Amino acid sequence: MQRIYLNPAAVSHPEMKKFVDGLQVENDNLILALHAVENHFGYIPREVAAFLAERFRIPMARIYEVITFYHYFRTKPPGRHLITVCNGTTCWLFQSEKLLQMAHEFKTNLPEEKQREVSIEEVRCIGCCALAPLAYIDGQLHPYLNAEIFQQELEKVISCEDKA
Amino acid sequence: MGQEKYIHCTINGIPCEVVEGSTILEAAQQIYLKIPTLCKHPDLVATGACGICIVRVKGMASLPRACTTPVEEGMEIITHDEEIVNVRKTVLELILSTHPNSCLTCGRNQSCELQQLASDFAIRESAFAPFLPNLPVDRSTGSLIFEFDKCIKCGRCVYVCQEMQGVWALSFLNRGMNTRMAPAGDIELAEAPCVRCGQCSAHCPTGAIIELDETAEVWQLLHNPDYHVVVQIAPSVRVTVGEEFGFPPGTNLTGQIYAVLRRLGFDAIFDTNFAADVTIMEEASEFVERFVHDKGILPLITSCCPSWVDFMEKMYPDFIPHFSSTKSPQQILGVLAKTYYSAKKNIDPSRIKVISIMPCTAKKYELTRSHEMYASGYKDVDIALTTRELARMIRQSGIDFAKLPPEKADSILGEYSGAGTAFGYTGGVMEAALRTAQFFLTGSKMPRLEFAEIRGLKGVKEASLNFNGKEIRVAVAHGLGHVSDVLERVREAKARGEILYHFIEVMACPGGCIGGGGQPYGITNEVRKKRIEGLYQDDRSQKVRCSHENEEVQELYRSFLEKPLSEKAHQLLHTTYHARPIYRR
Amino acid sequence: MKIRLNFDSNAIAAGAAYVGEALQRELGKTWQIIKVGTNGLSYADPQIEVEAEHLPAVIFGKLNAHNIAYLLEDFFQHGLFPREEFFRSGGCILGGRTFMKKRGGAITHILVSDTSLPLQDKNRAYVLSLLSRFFSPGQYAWALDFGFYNRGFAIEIFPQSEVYAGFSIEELPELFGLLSQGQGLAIHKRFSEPLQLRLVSKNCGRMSAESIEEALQLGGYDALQTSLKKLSPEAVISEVEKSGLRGRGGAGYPTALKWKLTRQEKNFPKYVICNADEGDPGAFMDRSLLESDPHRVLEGLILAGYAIGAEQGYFYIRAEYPLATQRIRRAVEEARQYGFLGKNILGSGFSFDVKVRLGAGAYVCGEETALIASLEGKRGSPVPRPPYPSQRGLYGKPTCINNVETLATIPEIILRGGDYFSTIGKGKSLGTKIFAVSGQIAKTQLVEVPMGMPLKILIYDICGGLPAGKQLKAVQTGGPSGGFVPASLLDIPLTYEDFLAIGSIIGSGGLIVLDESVNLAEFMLFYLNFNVDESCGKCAPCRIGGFQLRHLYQELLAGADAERQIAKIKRIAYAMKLASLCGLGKAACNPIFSSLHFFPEDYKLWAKKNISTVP
Ligand SMILES: Cc1cc2nc3c(=O)[nH]c(=O)nc-3n(C[C@H](O)[C@H](O)[C@H](O)COP(=O)(O)O)c2cc1C
Ligand code: SF4
Ligand code: SF4
Ligand code: SF4
Ligand code: SF4
Ligand code: SF4
Ligand code: SF4
Ligand code: SF4
Ligand code: FES
Ligand code: FES
Repeated sequence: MQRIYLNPAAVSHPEMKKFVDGLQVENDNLILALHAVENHFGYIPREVAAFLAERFRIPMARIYEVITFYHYFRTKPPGRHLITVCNGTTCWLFQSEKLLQMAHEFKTNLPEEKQREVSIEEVRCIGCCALAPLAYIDGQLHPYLNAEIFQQELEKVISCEDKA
Repeated sequence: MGQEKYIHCTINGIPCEVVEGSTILEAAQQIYLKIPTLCKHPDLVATGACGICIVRVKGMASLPRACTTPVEEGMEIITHDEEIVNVRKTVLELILSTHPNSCLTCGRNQSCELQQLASDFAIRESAFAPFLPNLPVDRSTGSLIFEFDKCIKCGRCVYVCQEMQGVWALSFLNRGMNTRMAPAGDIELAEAPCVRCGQCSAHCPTGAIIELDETAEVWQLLHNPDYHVVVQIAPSVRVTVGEEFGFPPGTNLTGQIYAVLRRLGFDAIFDTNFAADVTIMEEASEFVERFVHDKGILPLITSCCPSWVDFMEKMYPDFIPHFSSTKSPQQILGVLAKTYYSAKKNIDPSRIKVISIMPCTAKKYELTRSHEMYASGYKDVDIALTTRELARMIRQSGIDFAKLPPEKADSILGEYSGAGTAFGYTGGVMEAALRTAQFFLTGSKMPRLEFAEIRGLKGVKEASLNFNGKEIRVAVAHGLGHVSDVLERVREAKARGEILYHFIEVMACPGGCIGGGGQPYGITNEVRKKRIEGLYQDDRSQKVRCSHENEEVQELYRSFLEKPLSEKAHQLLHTTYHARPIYRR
Repeated sequence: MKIRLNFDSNAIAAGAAYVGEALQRELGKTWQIIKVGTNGLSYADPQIEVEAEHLPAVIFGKLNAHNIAYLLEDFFQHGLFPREEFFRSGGCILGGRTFMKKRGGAITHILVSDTSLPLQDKNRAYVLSLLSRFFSPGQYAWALDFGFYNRGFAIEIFPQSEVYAGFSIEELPELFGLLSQGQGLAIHKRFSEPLQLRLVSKNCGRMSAESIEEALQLGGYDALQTSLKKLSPEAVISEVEKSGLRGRGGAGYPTALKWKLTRQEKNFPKYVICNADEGDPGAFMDRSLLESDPHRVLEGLILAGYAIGAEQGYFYIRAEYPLATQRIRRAVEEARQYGFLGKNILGSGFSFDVKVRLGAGAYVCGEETALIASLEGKRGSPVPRPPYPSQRGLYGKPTCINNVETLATIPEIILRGGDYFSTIGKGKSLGTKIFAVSGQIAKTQLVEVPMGMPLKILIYDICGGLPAGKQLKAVQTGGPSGGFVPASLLDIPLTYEDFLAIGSIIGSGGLIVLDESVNLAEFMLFYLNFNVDESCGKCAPCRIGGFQLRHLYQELLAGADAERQIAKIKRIAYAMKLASLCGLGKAACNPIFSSLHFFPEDYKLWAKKNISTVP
C-alpha cells in the first residue's frame, strides 16, 4: 500500500545503501534497525533514513517521527567523545547534577574546535544505583564518582588523544 | 448494514438511547448538548489530545474523555459540574500560556476554535507564565503559512496529512514541550512531499496553518486603472461562500457572487464552469482517442486537481502517461482570457489580469506549476484566491452581498452547462466527461446525465457502464488517502496485461472541491453532503447540461480553436507532467 | 569447589570483570568460577561467594585490584580469613547467606558482626582483640552484613555455617571462650527467623545466567512441563487466580483477571508481552531478574502465552539494559534448542515463540499502549483506552502485557500452588515482592519479602538503615508516580492498600531512602524535570502542565511567595490528574500532593531563605 520513498540524493551514498541492505533485522522492527544504524554511524544519517523508508516501505516522515521521539537516536553525529551522566533519582541524590554541570564546564573550557568533539548526554537510571553516581565516558562506565575523580577522568580523555 | 444495537445511558439525568459504539460526545449531541472539544474533529478519529472534553461517569475514578469513551449500558454521565469546568478551564489556561494570543493579527480571528473556547470560558487573565518557542514561520509553499507558535498540538493536521491524504508531509517531531508538527527533519514544507491541498488548514482549529492571504494584492490591481481585471469563480464556490455570511451550506449564490464581484470593481466576471466545459471537450476527446483509436494508454486519469497532479508527479510518476494532458479549468480560463478574449475585445493581454476564486490552496501553486502555465505569453492566471479570501474581501467592502439582486456573468467566458458545475463534487468530472463522451461515442442527443454509482462520499466508487454495447469501467477516488489503493490495483492489473478501468477521476479533497482546503471552516460530512446537493441542484436547473452543448464553448471552437485537440488547443489547453523528487532535501 | 562471581551490570560496572580474570588466572585450574547474575547485595560488588568443603562459605565483597591479592594468598592458599590490609583497602566479608550444607566438626572459622548499626564499627577493634585471645589469626574476622540488623552481636561459625545473634557486648568474652573450647552455643537462643523470603529471586546469584542447564538443575521449566502435561490453560489461570497475584509493574491489577479477559477474546492471533522497560529511576528489580534468572522470566512468559492462547510473545527491554537483552536473547535461543519454544512444545500441541525488542530511551513506553506503539515501530505515544490492549493491542490483536517480576512469579505459583502463595502477605496484597532499595541507605540492595512486612523492618532490619550520622526523612516509593512515606509512618505494611491510603503507591518496587538533608520541594523539581523530559507531549495537560509546574517550582525555589505558588501548583496538579491521557501525566501529581501534605515546611523554607538573603 505504501509508496517507495527513495531519496534521489541518497543514490550517491552506495555504502549507506549497502549497510541498510545488509541489516540483519527482522523486517518488522524499525527500532531495532535504527539501533543498528546508530551503533554503526553514531547517528541516523538522512540518507540512511531514506533507505530505511524504502526497505520498510514506510514514509520517511514516520522514521523522523520515531528518531526524534526517542532519546537514543540522534539526527546529527555526536562528538568523538561522549559523556553520558546518569541523572536518575539515586544518582541525583548523589549530586549527579553537579557532575553534569562539571561536564558542561569542562566542555566550555576547551578550545573551540575541541568543544565540537565533546557531546554530553543524560540517561535516566541504568539500574546500577548501588554505584551512584555514575557516568559513561567514551563508553567506559565509572562508578562512585565524585567531583575529583570525574574531573580526572574527563581530563584523561582529552590528554589521551593529544598524545595520539 | 447489520442490525444496530441500542444502549441506554443518562446524561445530566436525561435518559438517552444511542447506537452501541457511540461515544459520550456523540450521545450528548443527540440530546442537544455540546461538550466542549478542541482536538476532536468530526472528520477525524479522536486522539484524546486536549483533555477539554472530560466528563464524569458514575463509578469511574478518573474523568474519561467524552470524545474517545464509548457509552456503556447504564452509564450515568455528568458533563458539567464545578470540578469539571474548573479543570477544563485550567487546561485551557495552560494551552493559552504557550500561545501567542495575538488574535487581532491572526488569520483565524473570529473563526478560531481556541479563541471561541477562551471566550466561552471567560478567561480574563494569563494564569501562568507565558512561554513561546519562537519557531520560525514557514511560508515556503506559497500556498499555506505555518505559524508553529500558534499550534496547540491537537494533531489534526498530522492525521489529515498522513491518514486522510496519505501524503505524510507533516509529522509529529520531538516530544514533550518540544513536540511540533513539521516535515521530516529540519526542512521546510516545500521541501517535503506536501501537495498544498490545504486540508491541514481546513481542519486546524487555530491560526497555525492558514492560507496565504493575497487579498491585498488583488485590491491593488483593482485600484489600478491601467489594468483590466477579470475574475472567475470555481464551480464549488457558489455553494460555499454563503456559509461565511450565515447561509446554510449548499445555498447557491451564483448571481449574488457575480453581482458583488462587479461591485468590487472587476472589469469582467467569468465563470470557471465555462472553462470546465472546455476541459471536458478536450478530455472527452482524449478519452475517445484512447478508447476508440488506441492512441494512448488506458485508464485515462483526470488531471484538473493540482494537488493530485503534484501527488502523482511525486509518488506515482509511472502513471504520467495515463494523465489527461488537458489543463485544469482555472488555467484554461486564464489562457483564454489572455488570448481569445483579449483578441475579441481588443485588449492588450499585458493589461489583462486574471483573478480566480477557488476552493483551494493548491490552485495558488498551480499558477506557476510549469512553463505551460504561461501559454498566453503571460502568466495565464495572476492570482488565485480561496473562498475564504473572497469572503474577507466582501466583508472589507462592506457590501451586504446576499441582498444584492442576482446578476449574470459576462460573455464570452461566462456561460456554463450543468456539466461544468459538476466539477465541484467528487465524481462530477467523470460525470461531465461521460455525458460528452457518450455523445462523441454514440452520437446520442439524449445521453444519460446522472450516474448515482459514482456519486456520494464513499472513498472509492466504481461503475461499469454500457455505451452501445461497449463496456466502460470507471473509478472515482477522492481524498488522496484513497488513491494508493486504486493505483496499486491498476498497477497489478497492468502487470498482468489487463485494463482494470478505462477512466479514473481523482480529487485530492474528500468530497471534491466542495471540501477544498480553502473553503469556509467547519467541514464535516454533513456539510459536504449539503454543498454537493447545492451543486446537484445547480446542475439540474441548467437548461444545458452537457459541455458540448454550451453555446459559448461551441463559439470558442468555431471561431478560435477549430476543434478539440487541434494544434492550437494543444498549444493553449494542454500540459505535460514530470517526475519530481518526493523530498527536495 | 565453586566460586560464584556476581556478574550483572552492577557488578561489572563495579569491576567484576577484573576480579573474574584474576580469579581465573590464579584459581581457574582447581576452582570452577561461575558468573552468576546478582545475589542482590549490589552494594558489595564486585563480590564472590565461596562454596567448598574445606573453606567457610562466605561472601567476599568490594573486591578490587589491591585487596584481591590478599584474598588469594590468605584465603585461597592458606585457608585463612584475609589479613587486615584486605579490609583496609575496602574489602569486606558477608556472612549468613550461604547455600552450603551444614556440617559438623571443630570450629575452624568464626565471623562476628555488630548488627546494631550505626554502632557497628565502633566496637570492631575491641571485638577483634577479644577474638585474638581465643583464636589464631585468620580464624576469625569481622563481617559486614549477615542479612539482618538490630539484633545485637551476631556470629557465624564454620564449618557449621550457623548464625547466632542477639548477644550483648558483655556476653562476648564468655561466648568466645566457650566456642574456642568447642561448646557453648546451646545456652544461647539461635537466631533463625529469616527476614527475606526468596521465592521469585531464589535462584538469582546461585547459577550462571547464561546456562539453561544450570537453570534446569534448579527447577527451571518444571512449571512449564507440569502445566503442559497436567494443566489446561484455564487451570493455569485458576492457579494464578488462587494465588491472588497482582501485577508487579506498578498498577497492581489482578494478573489472572487480565489473562482471563485476554483469553476470552475471539480475535486471533493473540500476543503476550513482557514489559521489561523498567523506567522508574532508582529501580532495578527487573534488570536483576533478567540478568540473573532469565529463564524464569521466559518460562513465565511462555506460561502466560499458554494461558491466554497466544503463540507469539515479545520482550520489550529498555535499551539502557544491554546485558539483560543479551542474556534474554541467549535464554530464548537455548530454550528453543531445548524445545521449550517453537512448534508443538514438548509434544503438547502448544506452539509459542518469542521475539526480543528494544526500547530507545522513553520512560512513557512502559505504559501499555505506548509500549505497543513502540513495538510496532512507532512513536511511543499512549492512546486512549478503551479499547484495552486485551481487546485491541499489538497490531490490533488481543494482547496481554505483564511486568518482568509478575511473569517470574508464575513458575513458582504453578509449582507450589496458588494456595501456598496466597498464604503469604496481607489482605489483598499476597505473595512476596521484590524491592530495590537505594538512596541514603547503608546497604543498597535487592530484597524479596512477604508483602505486608512493615517498611521499617525492610529499611532498618534488612538494609541496615541509614549510613552513620544520617537521619531518615522519608522513603520515596513508586518513582515519579508515587509519593513519600515520612519517617513517622515507617511502620506502614508493604501492601498496595496501605500505601494508597497515605497517598503513595508501592509501584514497581523502587524504594529511595531520603535523609534529612533532602528538601522535598527541591526533590520535586527533580521529578518535574524528569516529567518534562519524559512527557510524550501528546496531551495538553501533561505536556504544558508539567512544564508550568516545573516553572512554578523553579520560582518557588528562587524565593517566590509560597502561598501563591502552592495554590497554582495545586490547581495544575489537579488538572493534570484529571485530564491527562495516560498514567504518566495522571500520576505526576502524586509526589506533589504527598510532599505538600507531609512536608509543607519544605515549601515555605525557600521564601524565608530568600528574604533573609535579600539586603
Ligand atoms: C508512564 C508509565 C510507565 C510505566 N512503566 C512501566 C515499566 O517500566 N515496567 C512495567 O512493568 N510497567 C510499567 N508501567 C505499568 C504498565 O503500563 C503496566 O501496567 C504493566 O506492565 C502491567 O503488567 P503487570 O500487570 O504485570 O504489572 C508503566 C505505566 C505508566 C503509566
Ligand atoms: S490562533 Fe486563535 S487564539 Fe490564537 S491568536 Fe489566532 S485567533 Fe487568537
Ligand atoms: S477584543 Fe479586546 S483586545 Fe481585542 S480588539 Fe477588542 S478590545 Fe482589543
Ligand atoms: S497541504 Fe495537504 S499535503 Fe500539504 S501539509 Fe497540508 S495536508 Fe499535507
Ligand atoms: S497546526 Fe493546527 S491542526 Fe496541526 S496540530 Fe497545530 S493546531 Fe492542530
Ligand atoms: S475541480 Fe479543481 S480545477 Fe476543476 S473547477 Fe474545481 S477547483 Fe477548478
Ligand atoms: S480537490 Fe479541488 S479543492 Fe481540493 S486540491 Fe483538488 S482542486 Fe483543490
Ligand atoms: S499524559 Fe503525558 S505522557 Fe501521557 S499521553 Fe499525555 S502527554 Fe503523553
Ligand atoms: S539512578 Fe543512576 S543508576 Fe539508577
Ligand atoms: S476533544 Fe476530547 S480530548 Fe480533545
